[in-house]
Amino acid sequence: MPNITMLDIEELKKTKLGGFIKKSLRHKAPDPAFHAMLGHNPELSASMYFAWGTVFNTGKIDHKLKEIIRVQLSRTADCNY
Amino acid sequence: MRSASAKQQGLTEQMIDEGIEEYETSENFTEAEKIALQYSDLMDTEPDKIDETFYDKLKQYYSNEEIVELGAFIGFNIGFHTWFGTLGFYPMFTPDGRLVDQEESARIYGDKPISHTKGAIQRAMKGQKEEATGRIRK
Repeated sequence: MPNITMLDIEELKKTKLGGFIKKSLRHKAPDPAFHAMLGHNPELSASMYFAWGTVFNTGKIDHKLKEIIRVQLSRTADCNY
Repeated sequence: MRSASAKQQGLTEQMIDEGIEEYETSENFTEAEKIALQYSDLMDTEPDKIDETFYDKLKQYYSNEEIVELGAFIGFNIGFHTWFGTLGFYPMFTPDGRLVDQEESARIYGDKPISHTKGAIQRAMKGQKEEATGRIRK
């Protein structure tokens, strides 16, 4: 069981995070668990979502290379997310 | 789960595994890609080794703007994955893109994050078939 409650994404869809969750469901990343956890603090969840989108989806570095790096770092951190 | 954009651009699980496990010797990555993967690897495990000499090598392939982009991305992910790892939750997406509950996700991904080619994809496909035949109640 997660160490803090995971919020229900159907409920989160009704909040200010709804647009982000729909986008996550469409793009498959970030996994909606991002908002299910960070959604306890909606303002922060929204800010971090924008930051995450900027570092991951914009810029000049190849997106595929970033995805390999992301998975590399998740494995060393023992993070299944 | 993997980035849909990256998959659409041709990224495969085999390329991910090769990029993580054998990027230094692989012939499928450019020198620029290899040093970016090393940058990430070292920042995560041995940041003291990222010195002026390393940055000089990095600058042979990347502009300062790109180094900032890479560094911010790597730093962001080290922090998030370290924290998320302590929270003990699983992705809501299976490797094949289905939304599942935590119990099913734990069954698919297992205790430790390992290559999706080492069981997660097969377990997800098995779950999909069982779901289709009504053996798993959602």
